[in-house]
Amino acid sequence: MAEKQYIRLARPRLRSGFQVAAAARSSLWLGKDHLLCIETNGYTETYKRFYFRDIQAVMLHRTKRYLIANSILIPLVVLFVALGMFVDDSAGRIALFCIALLPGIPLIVNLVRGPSCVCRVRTAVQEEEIPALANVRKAQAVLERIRPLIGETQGLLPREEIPARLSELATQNQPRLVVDDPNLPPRMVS
Amino acid sequence: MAVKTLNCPKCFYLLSEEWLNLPELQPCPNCRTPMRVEIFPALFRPAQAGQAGQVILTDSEAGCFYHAQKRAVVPCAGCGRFLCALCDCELNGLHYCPGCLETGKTKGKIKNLEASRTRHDNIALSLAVYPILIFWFTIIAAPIALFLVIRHWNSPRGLTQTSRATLITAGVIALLEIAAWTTFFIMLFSK
Repeated sequence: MAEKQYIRLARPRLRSGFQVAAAARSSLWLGKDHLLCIETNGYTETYKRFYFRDIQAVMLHRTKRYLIANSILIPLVVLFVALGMFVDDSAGRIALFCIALLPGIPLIVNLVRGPSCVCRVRTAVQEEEIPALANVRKAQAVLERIRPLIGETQGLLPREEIPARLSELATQNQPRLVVDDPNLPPRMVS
Repeated sequence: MAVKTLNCPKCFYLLSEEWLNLPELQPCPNCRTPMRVEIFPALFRPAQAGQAGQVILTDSEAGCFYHAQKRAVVPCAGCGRFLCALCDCELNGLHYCPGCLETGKTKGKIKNLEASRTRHDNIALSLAVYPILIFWFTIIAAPIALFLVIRHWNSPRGLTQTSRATLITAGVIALLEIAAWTTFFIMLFSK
């Protein structure tokens, strides 16, 4: 049997925003030397590869989607369960409890998944959102998993070294001014 | 010192080094949104400058296939042509000429350059399954689904797809539908 080339890191998730209309789903896979982000509408797949040697930063921040979803779903579940409790007819009660399951199941899924987030991967030429990593827990787990792999490719970056490396970077980025003629404004040299 | 290259992913506030590579999410000093920024050594790597081909100085030096006056530095991994530093396109440690890179991209010969694929197996399955809702449509859709299964049996599937399970399922369903229609017509005309 052929060896699996990719290992799934995150299951397909619907993209947020306008992409929902196209039912685009995004998943994240781990390759030998890169991360593969697959976006699919079921009939075509689009691939984005992030090579470990190119990843400069992984950034994530928490979003309010988890709280908003809970604040919509919890009242709905409570409403239908409460209505079911007050109905005398057993068939009606069962029907209302079944209706309560409609928002109840997404609520349970949302609670199990935990707080939501947006995760971005940055390389020298792009900063891409990874829609498959939409939960803090999952994103952190994936980050912990890929960090040693990136470390193997790029080398380690101890926290103590960061200030020195950043100041070095700032000096590199600073434009140098050269005065050719005292009567003319200085010339910028990159 | 403020980090000019790294911002809060939410409010784009400039982050200082104390907010980087922390084990857990920390509130942004500006917007208070919990965030985490993990940086890697590639951030400090200077961008590689492109190289220009060097002019041939002696007769014993090989020239570039595309620029005869320039010194060849590497052979193309695809076609074996000699390339100068300008024509050398490096991809995953292999050196390609621009022509091979383009061919590899359009024809899917270089897997790592493939940006998209059509999932013929999913199309076949949809054609076999969805028309069942309005059964009459299967008379057209089932043969098309079966054709797609046969036509794309050896076509590349999704990058992460290892089996032909979807294609087989589509084929079986399409065959069953065709068998059902055949039986129906036989019974219809035999009466």
